[in-house]
Amino acid sequence: MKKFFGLALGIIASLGGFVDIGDLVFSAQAGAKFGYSLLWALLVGTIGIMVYGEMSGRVAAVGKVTVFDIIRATYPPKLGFFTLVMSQIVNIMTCAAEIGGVALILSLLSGYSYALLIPAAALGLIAVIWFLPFKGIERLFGYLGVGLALFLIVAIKTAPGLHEIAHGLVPHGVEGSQWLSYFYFAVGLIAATLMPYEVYFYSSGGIEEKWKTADISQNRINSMLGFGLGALVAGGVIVAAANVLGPMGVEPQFIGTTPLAVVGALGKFGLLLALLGMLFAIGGSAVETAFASAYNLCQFAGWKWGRRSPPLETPRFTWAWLIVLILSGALILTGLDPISLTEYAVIFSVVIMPLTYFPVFIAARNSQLMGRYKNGRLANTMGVICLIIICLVALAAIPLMFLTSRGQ
Amino acid sequence: MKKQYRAYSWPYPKHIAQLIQVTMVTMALIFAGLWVTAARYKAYRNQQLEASQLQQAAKTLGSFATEAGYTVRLARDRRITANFREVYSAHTAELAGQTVSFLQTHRAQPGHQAQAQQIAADGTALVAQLEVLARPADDSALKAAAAHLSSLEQHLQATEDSL
Repeated sequence: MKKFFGLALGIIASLGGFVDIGDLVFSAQAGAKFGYSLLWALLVGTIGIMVYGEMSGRVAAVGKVTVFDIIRATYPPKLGFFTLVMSQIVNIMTCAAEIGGVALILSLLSGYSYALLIPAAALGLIAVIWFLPFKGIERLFGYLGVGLALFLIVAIKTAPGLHEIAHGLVPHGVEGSQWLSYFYFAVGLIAATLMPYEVYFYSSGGIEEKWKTADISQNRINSMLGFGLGALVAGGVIVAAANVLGPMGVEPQFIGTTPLAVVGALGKFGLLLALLGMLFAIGGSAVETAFASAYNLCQFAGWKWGRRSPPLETPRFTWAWLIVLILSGALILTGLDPISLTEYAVIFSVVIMPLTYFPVFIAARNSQLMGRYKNGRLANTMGVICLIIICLVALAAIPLMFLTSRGQ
Repeated sequence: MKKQYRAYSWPYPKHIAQLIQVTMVTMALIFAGLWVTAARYKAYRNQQLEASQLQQAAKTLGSFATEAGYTVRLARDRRITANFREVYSAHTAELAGQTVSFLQTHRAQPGHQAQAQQIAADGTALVAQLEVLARPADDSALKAAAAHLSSLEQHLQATEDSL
């Protein structure tokens, strides 16, 4: 019974805990613009994050090393530093976009000024991290983000049939002059699902929670179920946007447009729940990016880190996440649009994707580090395929962004 | 276990000089990227608008009008709160305003100037309507707004089709 409840709670937490502003932005835009035809890109990204999430968790459980420990050990200093600097820039951009998203949703819920709510959102997140234990933070954002499941309900209610959806899982391309924009959104969806901060946070979380070799099967379930259910929600957003927003000619350019997809089917209460789900999912991602930045810096410099200990016992780690949240709040307060910033962060994150995932792959197949828990044939094959896709996405992302003026 | 994982590793002392070098190179790259973007933007500002750009602007503004019309319909059916409608309209007005100011700061290519002016005029009317919706409004005001948004949407669609 205890295991059943544990699994149920895990599912609830996954529905809200593995979706961020990048997933919401790209999924809603892709669904409204191209219907179901980009579901395959979400599937590719999801398989990639499952494969590399599982590897990074396994390396943390067996080798007791995090992704940035591996980067430090694999690369020469200059390349390692470059990865650190780029990952920090992308993390701060993402965190700023997430804080902007939280402030926008709070503004939609309360009617108060967006500009006033930005510092309030940053301070609220700081208070949550300061006062709640690690597990509590994870549960708060995971459980309260469950409102995002409404997109799945709307998708099921409005979808014409499984055949059309299954058709979208196979790449078909588009007719006419829209194909560049189509590939821009495909790259965006894959990149948003594979954002590197997710594995920085996931592997460091494994060390925080003191995973052992006995937890390897739990890690496998976490990465499959967590990332899989997160992708299901993102898929729900694509289908709901394709069925509700697309036919009206609406191409969402504002985070407030996304929950409109549920209002027609579920009314005012549905809108409130969807907004709350988005608020906690995006808030949780802001915390994850701030933590990922602090983890990366401390692991790279060899400083004491971890949220398991009280904040004052790990002063450098605490300063690091505090500074990231304050800097991100200041960045979005300059008037940058959270949606545009999200798109830039997702597209620029592809530059560090190969630099992040390659060392994880090398470490997971290292028999000296992993012993009998090193990659098997399936993990090696999937790892290589995903790395090739990541490299192709990395090469295509920035040119596509300029060629299409961000998917126009 | 961790100590064994040293196949390609470098020693722990903090390579401050190298960190500074790499940070400077990265910043220089970002600065160069921003410089190129600024140069492109300058050229972009000076260029004359082509039919496809005007079409895109009409499409974007039309999408805002459709979205706003849907929101008004939901507000009249009491399916969204007044807070939501007001904040939503204020943000959409800001985004539509950016498209209008883009049109107003560029000259259209010969032969498309009338359409460019028409799109800018419809866009300005759309922004004004959205600003009205960003304030408290009763049902009759919402009904009038819905009719106005629908006519703006049709205008923009007609201009888009004519390009």
